[in-house]
Amino acid sequence: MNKFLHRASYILLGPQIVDPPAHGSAGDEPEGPEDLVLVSRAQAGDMRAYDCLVLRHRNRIFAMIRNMTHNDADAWDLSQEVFIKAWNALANFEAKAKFSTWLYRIAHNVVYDWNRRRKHDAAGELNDEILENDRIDPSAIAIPYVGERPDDHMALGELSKKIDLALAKISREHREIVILKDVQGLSYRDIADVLGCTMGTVMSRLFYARQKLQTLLKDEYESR
Amino acid sequence: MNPDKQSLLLWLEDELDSAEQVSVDAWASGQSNWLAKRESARAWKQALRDVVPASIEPPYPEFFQAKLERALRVQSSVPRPVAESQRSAVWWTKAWMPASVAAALVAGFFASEMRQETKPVQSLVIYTPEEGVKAEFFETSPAEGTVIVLNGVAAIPDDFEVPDTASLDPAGAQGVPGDGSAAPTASVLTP
Repeated sequence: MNKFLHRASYILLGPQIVDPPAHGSAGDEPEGPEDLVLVSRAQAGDMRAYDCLVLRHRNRIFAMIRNMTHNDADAWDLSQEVFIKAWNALANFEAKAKFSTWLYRIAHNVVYDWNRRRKHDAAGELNDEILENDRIDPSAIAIPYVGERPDDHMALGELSKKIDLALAKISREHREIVILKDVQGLSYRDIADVLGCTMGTVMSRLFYARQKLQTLLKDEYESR
Repeated sequence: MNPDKQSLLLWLEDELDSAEQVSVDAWASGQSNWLAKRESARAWKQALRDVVPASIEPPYPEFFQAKLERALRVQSSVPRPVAESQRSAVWWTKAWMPASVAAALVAGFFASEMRQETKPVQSLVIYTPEEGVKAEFFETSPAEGTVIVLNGVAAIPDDFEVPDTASLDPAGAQGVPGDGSAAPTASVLTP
């Protein structure tokens, strides 16, 4: 039912994109000592403090997941899952890392599990991965067109649509690293924390991800 | 001195701390290809950020918060997160927990036993759609009886025909009517 409501809301209202510098808007607060104060209060069981933390980080987490899943309803549910898991694991959070980095790590795990569940649930159904360009014979006469939903088509601009489509064509790992680095603006070190790998791996993976994405967007990128 | 590869990659992404940044900037001032690479990386990131939002408010944001809060409150009946420093302070309460739970179970058992013997349970609410009709509901647990008394219901007129909802089915009766062996069966008649 929730999914239906979200879907209907998306069709009627479209995704509610927030301009990044909007001061005081939920989810766009800069990382700062306030986070640590709120975290320690939330660790003591203060739900209002946790509510403030959610408001500060909600929009960025939702955007990250939405850019990964390309689906508002799933992103909505998964974002909920992220904040519930974060609450349950809050006692284990130590201020060694930034709270936002820790949240991104939980979001990464939640999206990873969701992908795995989805693959498992879809066993026997058409596997979307076989439609990915790198798995199609280059000499094939026709290439399957993976079109986006009509509401996406309406909501996104021409370039945005192409980038969205290109992001959907690269592998999940590459997509995630581009989103974390180039869209969310995380540092190499933070991404290594989120993904649980070395900085060298992040650097190399990002290099190949950008290369693939730029190849897919070659005309657009060069015309800018 | 030439910067190492990692420093250069960090420089390309504007991730060096200020001291290192100055040092690599000085080296790069004569390296037009590296300066171009950095500009290209900046332009790429800007182009992506222009079209892929880094921050999106979820649909129904108030519902998002409310649903989350409700889920967390449900979970708060389960132990809430406790900071590491606070854990040592509550360890002794755990030792008393099994005894407290057992005492609460025993007390609860006796309380429910006593209530069943002395008081009938009244758990239903009766709604009467007709104005002026008052309903009273009585239930006794020991007798397993339920009585509903309706006061103020208009008398049923003599010419009132009972709708065709149920009747005795003579064909279904076994034996001869009147001989005492007939077993009348009810059947539902559909319109």
